[in-house]
Amino acid sequence: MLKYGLKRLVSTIPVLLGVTVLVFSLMHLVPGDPVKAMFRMTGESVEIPPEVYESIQKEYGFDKPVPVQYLIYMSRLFRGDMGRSTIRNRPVSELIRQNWRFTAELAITAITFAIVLGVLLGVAAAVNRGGWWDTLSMMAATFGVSMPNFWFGLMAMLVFAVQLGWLPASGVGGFEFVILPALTLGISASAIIARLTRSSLLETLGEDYIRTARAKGIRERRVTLIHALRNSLIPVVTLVGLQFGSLLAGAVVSETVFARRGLGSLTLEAVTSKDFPLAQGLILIIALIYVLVNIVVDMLYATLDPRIQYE
Amino acid sequence: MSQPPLESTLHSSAIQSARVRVALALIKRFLRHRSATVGVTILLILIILAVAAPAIAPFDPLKQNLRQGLAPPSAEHPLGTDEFGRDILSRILYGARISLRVGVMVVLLSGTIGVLLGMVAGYYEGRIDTIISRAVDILLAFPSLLLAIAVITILGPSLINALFAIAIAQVPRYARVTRGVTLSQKQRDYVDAARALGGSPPRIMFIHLLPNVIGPVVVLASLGVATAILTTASLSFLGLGAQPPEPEWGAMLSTGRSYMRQAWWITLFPGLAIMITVLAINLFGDGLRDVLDPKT
Repeated sequence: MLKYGLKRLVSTIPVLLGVTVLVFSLMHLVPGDPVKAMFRMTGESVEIPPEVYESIQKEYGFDKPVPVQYLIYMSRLFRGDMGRSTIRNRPVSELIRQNWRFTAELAITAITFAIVLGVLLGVAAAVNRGGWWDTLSMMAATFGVSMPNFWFGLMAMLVFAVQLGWLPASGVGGFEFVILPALTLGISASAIIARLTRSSLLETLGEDYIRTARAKGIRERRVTLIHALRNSLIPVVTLVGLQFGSLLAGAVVSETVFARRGLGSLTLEAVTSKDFPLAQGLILIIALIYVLVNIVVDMLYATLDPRIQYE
Repeated sequence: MSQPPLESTLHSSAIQSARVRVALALIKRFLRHRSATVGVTILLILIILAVAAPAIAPFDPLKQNLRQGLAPPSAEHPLGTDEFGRDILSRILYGARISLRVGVMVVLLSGTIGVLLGMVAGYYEGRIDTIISRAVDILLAFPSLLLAIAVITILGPSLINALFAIAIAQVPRYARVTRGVTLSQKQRDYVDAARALGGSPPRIMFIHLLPNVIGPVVVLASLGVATAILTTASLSFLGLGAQPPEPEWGAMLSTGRSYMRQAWWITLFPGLAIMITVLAINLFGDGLRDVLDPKT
């Protein structure tokens, strides 16, 4: 198990390196001078004193060849140094440390909601194949994947925060603050999970060992929930891993709708104000988490299905 | 479907008629698919509305009328007006032109590049495959919305840049699927036959492999249009896509957010427009998948 995880991690190293190369190149793909780009506030250039210009150029090694610059970038990265945010004038790592837990809270609540609702709907649909429950939940799922999640968020805010006043419309704080943003973030994931759970459960229910279980006289409910569901959830696990990544990116949207603190709204702030070090740092962190989550999911997958071996 | 007898397949006209028969059977199966026909019908209506927007829109989508600002739905403005007194219905109709066009263009762009890369990787294998597959793996390490945001960081926010960003973010999935199908199709006898007849690799790829690879890609592409429309709306909502005063649906929602307490109609209707459009395309795409790829 651990060996599998390690092997999987080692095999990810080229991808991780590629990710750093891509994030590193962000700065260099921007037309114009990188030092000036770092100083551009909300898109406008400011005059940089020559001595400041030179010291920054030296500090980041912009006067050196690009491969050398990449090595400098990497050695800084390994020391936990992701540069300084130009708008906040603080180390990027510090900003990430201060904000990650709001996004973690949001993403974990959202994925929990998505799994619970998705699996429930999926099972209800599969068990009543062709019936009302099936039609209803699959229709709900189709609407769920077709709805822009930020619009769902705005509508939920309109109803539950503005009209009914049950939940806060924005900000961070206790659990009541995370409910609407998490619903917004998790709604499409829950729809996708519901669809896959349904088709996977239907497939498993057709297997021979299910017929055997039924023939043994085990009650239908037990057959579905114990024998079939466990095996049919294996592909769902992979999907959850993949969805978690889009959830992290979706946090940009959900946090913006609800004016919530976190890595997502920080990313938007960095991109709109052209704060390259901050944008680079955040994009890198989110991609890293995404890759790591998928390794964990693969390990989980290997535990659930012993037939899966690495290579 | 009856298979044509072996000897007649040697006649190209017989192959032609067999192809037509298969195509007709597929279309028939598609039309019998209930939700797919619903999707296609809605989609056709939307396309007609988008094309006819200049003729049927009651107002100029950009024309401001500050005295009519934030007017609720009425006989004159069936869906109300926004903060500048612009007619929401007209803006939504014009917005359909933007969204449908962006959706199709993203898919054409990313599909072409992705299929090309996937086919080359799958056909040649070896070094070039390693390079392409690694690059695809790296791009897939980014959630696609994040990748699009990263590209916009470089290009700067605008509708056309959002289009490119989303297209780049979608390339990996086409490349991956095409590579897989190419790898398995390559083993077939018809490819060996083409090679034995002296077909050059580009000829084998484009004349022989492409028609057999395109099925799964078409399904992916139809659902890709829906994703592209949703992502464009998200980016515009964030201020990273279409810029005001463009009547893009996501951008309309982003101004609607500021006036939600006074004017719910600014937020409700553009969102409904997005949902109906994406829903229609998804129904269409699901139907297509059921018809073209009955296994899944």
